[in-house]
Amino acid sequence: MFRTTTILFVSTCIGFYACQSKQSAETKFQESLDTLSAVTVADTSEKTTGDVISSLPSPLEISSMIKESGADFSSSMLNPVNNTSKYTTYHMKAINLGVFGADLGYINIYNQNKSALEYIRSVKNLADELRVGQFFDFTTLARLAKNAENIDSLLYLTTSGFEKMDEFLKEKNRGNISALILTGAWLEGLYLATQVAKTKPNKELIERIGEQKISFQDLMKLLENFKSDQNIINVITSCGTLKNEFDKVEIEYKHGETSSSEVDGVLVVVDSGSSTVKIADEQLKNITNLTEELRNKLITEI
Amino acid sequence: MKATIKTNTIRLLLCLLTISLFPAIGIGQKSQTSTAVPSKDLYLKAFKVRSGVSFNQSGVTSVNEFAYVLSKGVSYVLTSSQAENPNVKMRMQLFDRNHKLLASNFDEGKKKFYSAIQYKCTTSGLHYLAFSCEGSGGAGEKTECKGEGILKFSN
Repeated sequence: MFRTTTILFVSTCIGFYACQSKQSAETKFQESLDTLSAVTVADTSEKTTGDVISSLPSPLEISSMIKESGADFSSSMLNPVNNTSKYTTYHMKAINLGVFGADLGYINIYNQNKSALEYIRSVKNLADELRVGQFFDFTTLARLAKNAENIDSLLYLTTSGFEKMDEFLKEKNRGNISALILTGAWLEGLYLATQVAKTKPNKELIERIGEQKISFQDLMKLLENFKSDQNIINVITSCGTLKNEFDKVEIEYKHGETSSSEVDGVLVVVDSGSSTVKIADEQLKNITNLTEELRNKLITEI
Repeated sequence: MKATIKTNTIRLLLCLLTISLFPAIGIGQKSQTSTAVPSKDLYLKAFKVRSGVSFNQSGVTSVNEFAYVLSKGVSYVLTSSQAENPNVKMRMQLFDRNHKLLASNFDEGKKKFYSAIQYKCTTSGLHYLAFSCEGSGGAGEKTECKGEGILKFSN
């Protein structure tokens, strides 16, 4: 009897403590979310932010290039989905929503439907916690993910969900969340590229890594718009060394003329101009190491 | 006169990503007159066009312009969808980072619209995509230029 009572008491205490801790964490998280609008409204140059965000390329292009290079799918490069529940603050949720989004793009490019389901779930969970989960119909996405023939529909619905989420965040003046999602996605794309280049280097992929200097500059401009958000200042600071290394990359442009022809009603345009990326082996090595360090920090630092 | 309306849209990801993180093909444009492109092209990004409601003297609405980083070696296809008004066609123009015109889906000489622009990028960097609507009505006629510019890609 005494033993049973003790167990019940201890269990109740643990349960109470757990609830308190959870409530405390949730309350803290909700409070942090509730302060976002003020942060964003105060210092966002909407025009500048819009210009920058619309200019950033999708990490999907890099994933496609990785596949074209002949590299095998590697799940070990991805952020493990069991990390999802570890993200308790809005900025970690946002960054890793972007990371998982980029991972999902990589998975989709390789038609890894089983993994896709797991990453869709993580995206949905983080989006829910950021109050933007209404843009992902998990039931439908899960059904589509079970059949490889549905991959196009699955991909479109996922994209559509992100687009609607973006619109919503814009309307609610939560642009700093969008910026953090974008940061996570961009960084994960760069991480995947550098990891593949490390083990299976090829000229095109290395050049694409060097070209990320352009996107990185835009990303930094975007983040600068939200400097009253301490979490974004921390991200900017963390990116400092990587930025210094990208600054050493040179991109040379050669002007040319365009010519065009009509093929089946489509205007096919050929440009004789070109760009060349100059990135030394040492720079590539440093960018690879710094990217890995920064990415691992952002997926694990709680 | 080229009136340029820079988008204020925060398009993440997203669109980012975003938004454009994932390839999508073929669905979701059912209510619009989207141009068919080869299925190997992967959906990259949609640029929402919300242009002026009046044609100018040339019969063209004001321009929505977007900046986007294109990558060397990638083949891009730019199409458009324009809803609700069959008498309106969307003009699409692609400029390089110096705002030099690279391509337009409208041939001024032939007064002809092409259904899509296919551009094999040889110069990585910022590019500009501009969209406007052209209608059959005269100057000052009210219209709605509402649709999307759709960017797809293949390696």
